[in-house]
Amino acid sequence: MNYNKFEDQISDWIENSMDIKQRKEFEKFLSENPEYLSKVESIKDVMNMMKDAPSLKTSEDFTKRLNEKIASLKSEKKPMGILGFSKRNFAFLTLSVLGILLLSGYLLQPSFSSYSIVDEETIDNNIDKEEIDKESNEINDIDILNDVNGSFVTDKD
Amino acid sequence: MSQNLQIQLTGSLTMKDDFKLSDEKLIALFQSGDINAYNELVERYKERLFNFVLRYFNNKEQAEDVVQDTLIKLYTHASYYKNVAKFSTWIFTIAKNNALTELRKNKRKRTESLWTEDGNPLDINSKEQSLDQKTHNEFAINQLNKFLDEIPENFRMAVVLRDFQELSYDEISKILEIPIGTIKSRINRGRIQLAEKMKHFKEQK
Repeated sequence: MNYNKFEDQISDWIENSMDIKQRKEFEKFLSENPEYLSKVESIKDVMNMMKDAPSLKTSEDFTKRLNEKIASLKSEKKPMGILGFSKRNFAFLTLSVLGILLLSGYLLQPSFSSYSIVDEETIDNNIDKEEIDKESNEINDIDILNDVNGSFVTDKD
Repeated sequence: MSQNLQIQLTGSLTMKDDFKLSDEKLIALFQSGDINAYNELVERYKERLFNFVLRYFNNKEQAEDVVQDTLIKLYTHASYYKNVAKFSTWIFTIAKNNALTELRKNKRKRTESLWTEDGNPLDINSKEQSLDQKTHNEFAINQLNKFLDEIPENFRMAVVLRDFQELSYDEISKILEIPIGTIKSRINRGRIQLAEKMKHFKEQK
């Protein structure tokens, strides 16, 4: 063991945190170099002094001031507005709900999906057109049946 | 021990050491709303934290402010504590972080000393006392405190946590966020420097 290693291990030796082999090596070095014993002793003294040193006290009103700070923190807490929401959030939420309700009401009304606003004449024209289309479709069906069966099919059939 | 009985015990701060609840039990009680548990933690830690933080500032008022901020954080952020680390490690870490933030903010690092040139504490009572009135031991401790201010900060904080606060190497490693081997080395170096200064001082006297 050299001096540097000895110095590195002083605290370990004082605190008894060495394994047996290290301890024996350390103590052998000390017995061979008794001049270093005083160094170990002085470190021990310093450690004991720090351990026994009285701690500095906080001010007498320390706890009182702490409690005052905590109390003011509590009073600073803003009360929650309406139904547990802040006023700003509540207004936003209300507007959102109203918006959704209006939009859904508009989308779900029956006239929206089938018709737009039209006058009665247009509706009548549309009905006539539908009837004409229906009749022409029926005639087409009869022609197709004639082609398939090779015989004449009347309305009576 | 039932939960109710524990709450009753925390209400009394005069209980015997044998029946003292652990810090971890107290913070658990505080987390469930027992304000007496918080008060007990304040009593247990205010001076320990003060003596620790003081080593960063060497200014009593600033150190008290930092400790108060730490204890307020304990009040407002108690739910952040999880029972995986020791309470002391958690609270000392908060105190250290607060102290470092304050130091960065003010850039008034160690401008004043709590100790006079003679190594006496800088307060009214001690100024009025003559050296003759002091015991040799008191004088030596005051001198040691002064020397402690003179060693490098990274050595000083590790030594303070180990030898004044009597925390384990593992706890110190977690608080200072430094590997345990480095902590051991810094503590050893710090002690050696202090011992040398004390030896030199005694020889001069």
